[in-house]
Amino acid sequence: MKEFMQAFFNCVGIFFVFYMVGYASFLFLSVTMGSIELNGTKRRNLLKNELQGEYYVPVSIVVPAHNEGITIESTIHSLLALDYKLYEIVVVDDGSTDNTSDVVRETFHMKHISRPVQRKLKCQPVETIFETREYKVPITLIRKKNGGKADALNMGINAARYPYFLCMDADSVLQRDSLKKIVRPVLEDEKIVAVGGAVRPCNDAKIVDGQVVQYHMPKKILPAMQVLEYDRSFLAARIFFDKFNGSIIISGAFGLFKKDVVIAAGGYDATTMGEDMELVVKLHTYCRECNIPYRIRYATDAICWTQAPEKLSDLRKQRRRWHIGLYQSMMKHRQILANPKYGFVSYVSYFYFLIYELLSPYIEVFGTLTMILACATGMLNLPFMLMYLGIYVAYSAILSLTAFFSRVHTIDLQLSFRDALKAAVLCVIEISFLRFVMAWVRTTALIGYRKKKNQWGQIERKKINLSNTGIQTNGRKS
Amino acid sequence: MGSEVLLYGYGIVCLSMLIYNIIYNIIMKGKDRRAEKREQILRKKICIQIDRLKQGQAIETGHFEYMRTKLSNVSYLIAFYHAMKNLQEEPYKEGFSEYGIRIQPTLIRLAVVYKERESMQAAYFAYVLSRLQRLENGYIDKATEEILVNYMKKDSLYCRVNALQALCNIGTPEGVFKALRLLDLRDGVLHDKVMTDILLSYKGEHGELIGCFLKHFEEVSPRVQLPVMNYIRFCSDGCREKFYEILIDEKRDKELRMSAIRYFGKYYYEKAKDSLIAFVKDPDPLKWEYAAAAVSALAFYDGEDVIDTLTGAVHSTNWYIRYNAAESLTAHQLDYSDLIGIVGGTDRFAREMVMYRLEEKRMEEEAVDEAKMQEGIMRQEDAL
Repeated sequence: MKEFMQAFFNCVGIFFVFYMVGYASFLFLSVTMGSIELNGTKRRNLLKNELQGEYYVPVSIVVPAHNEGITIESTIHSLLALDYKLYEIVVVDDGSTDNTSDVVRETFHMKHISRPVQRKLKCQPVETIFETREYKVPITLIRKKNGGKADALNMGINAARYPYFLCMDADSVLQRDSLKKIVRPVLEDEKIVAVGGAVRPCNDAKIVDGQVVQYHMPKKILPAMQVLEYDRSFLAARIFFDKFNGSIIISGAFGLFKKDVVIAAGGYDATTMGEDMELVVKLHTYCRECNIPYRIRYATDAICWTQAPEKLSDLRKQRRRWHIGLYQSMMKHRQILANPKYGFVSYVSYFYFLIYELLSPYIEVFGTLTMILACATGMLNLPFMLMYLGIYVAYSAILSLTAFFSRVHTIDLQLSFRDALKAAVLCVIEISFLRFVMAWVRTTALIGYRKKKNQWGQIERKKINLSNTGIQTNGRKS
Repeated sequence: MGSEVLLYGYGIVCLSMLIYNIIYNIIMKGKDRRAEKREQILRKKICIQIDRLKQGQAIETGHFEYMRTKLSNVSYLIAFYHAMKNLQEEPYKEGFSEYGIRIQPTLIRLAVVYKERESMQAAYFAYVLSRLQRLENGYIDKATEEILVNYMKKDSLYCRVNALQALCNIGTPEGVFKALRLLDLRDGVLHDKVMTDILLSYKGEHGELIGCFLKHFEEVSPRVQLPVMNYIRFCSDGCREKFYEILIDEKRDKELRMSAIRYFGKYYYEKAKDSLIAFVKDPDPLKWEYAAAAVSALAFYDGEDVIDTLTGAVHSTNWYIRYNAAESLTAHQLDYSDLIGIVGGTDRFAREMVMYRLEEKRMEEEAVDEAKMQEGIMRQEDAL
């Protein structure tokens, strides 16, 4: 029995060494590649190696909203301030029980209109439609029966006039140049079917007329720690995946898609909570199955500001939802795993998300339980365990800081001493505390899955700090 | 043991990167100051020459040599560009234009230097050329134009875009066409929207450029013909016959024929009317795109036959044909009473579409009236 236990613990030890080496290798590659790429982008910007002119493709901005009465006005104002030639705004009120529709209708002087909508994608029926032409771009408000975010997005796609649509969240805000920058890859390469933008927490940021005038690490600890997390993703991992056409997630807060390809692929899946990831994986599947040359890109300089949850309870709801969405997307498209037809998407992207995102909480819980068992049986190799944990914390903290410091290579973010110091302290707390809390949240996310799988939960919203010096309405200033 | 070594190795590299980023941040702050200093140095030198020009003197010969040497370094080229941008403001505005013309030959000759440089620097140089003033007395020399044309062979997309932009700024029509042909041959054709917009920025006579394109039209593939046709649509109503030939030629690429349809939607051509009507009435469901485009074009054509065609099209089973037909009908200033047959008819889809278009048109007119009223109120307030 003792030999068996010893062999078992040895195997677990070896497994975790490989596990950590794999994770460390991925993080290392993504952070270095992220830094190099951002540096290159900054240099390209300085040397005008980018499309300079007023080139554009018409875009429909689809904003699904459910009980977003507090933030929807700011969001639409930020969209009206976009520096872009031809676009429209389609707000889809997904059966809100608050005053979302009233706020939009009254603020923007919208009028009822009997507009037919071509139902190319399945979705809940329309209740009423309002439009206005008083602003620089047409704004449409569609009120429909509640069907979920994916359902609302499908309705928005059905109503969209233009060949490209941008999906964004109703509690997010775009910069003046965000649309121009996310469209740029499409003009550079006609094979591109989707482009993801970078999402940043806007807690304590000040945005005036679509320009960020004040940005520091958020004052509260929880959103500040999420900044580190977002930087690891948007300043490192996503850049790495982008290099090899391996992006399998585009944030639902900010993504540009080619409408006809999305429709042909079947649109958003209303039965999943991770509709953003599911659509991107579906696009990979659809294009490869149909032998369509394609590319899914990530625009590092196209920025969307969003609210990061400030309460732990809200953060838990969000992460639970993300984990369920991840599970649903991975299961639905499991044919990608170890499938040579999918190349890098299969062997790196899918594999990474499977092991280090979906299964990692269970692996980490298993590791913790094994440690307890080893301790109870007196077989714990304490020096090894302490060294392992020490390396894990130190290495993860260094990587987080490296990703955070990559912002010196971004065109718009500055690095202040205060922020750097705050990041250095918080990265250790994030790795050693928040990560384990979130691991537990994700471990328990699938409990009661069948009963509660489509429940989003209510997250507290705050009004975004947004100032406008004036908005043109065909000559009228508001 | 091996895994620990690997992790320590990763950790060391990351620490190095961290330190590099901190140092980089400090250096960048210094770099900005150095860039400002370079700009100030060049600005001072340029202002001296502008003052000389204002006094009726020529620019010093040594100045051209100095600039040729300095601007071979891309950091100074960036500083030069920023200095020139700022000098467009007072009090140097007066002499700035004259200086810009005089320094151009020096700049243009740098093409020989930058053609051997890495793509990013070459692209920046092309960008600076694309911002130059067009000379009144002619174009750039053939050798320099050839260098810019050969930029189309570069792998960097931005190099090609900036160089094409530069050619449209200071090149000849033949030079621009050669560049497009080279792009076509090397399969480096840009997005058609980008190409059309670059052509629209041509600073010379558009008539000459269009003439050159039409002369060599068949020498390029549809990938280049399409943006050229789109460009002509925005610029000239003098190509009706050529576009008509493309419109009726069934062997032509679909996108070219669609572009021709849109051309006749902008410029009236009696001869094209029957062809447009024929597209709409074509029963082949695979040709719905032609029908949808033709229905839009018919918004600007009069006649009972056009109204009948549009009225029939609004009953089409294809959404886009219905949508465009309803729009064209409302463009003919028809109202509810004129469209009573559709509005009161049994075809729900046609009725909905026409009703929507009429409501939309009313909404647009109300928005325009509202804007005019607000404008009037604002003017009164300003006057008071």
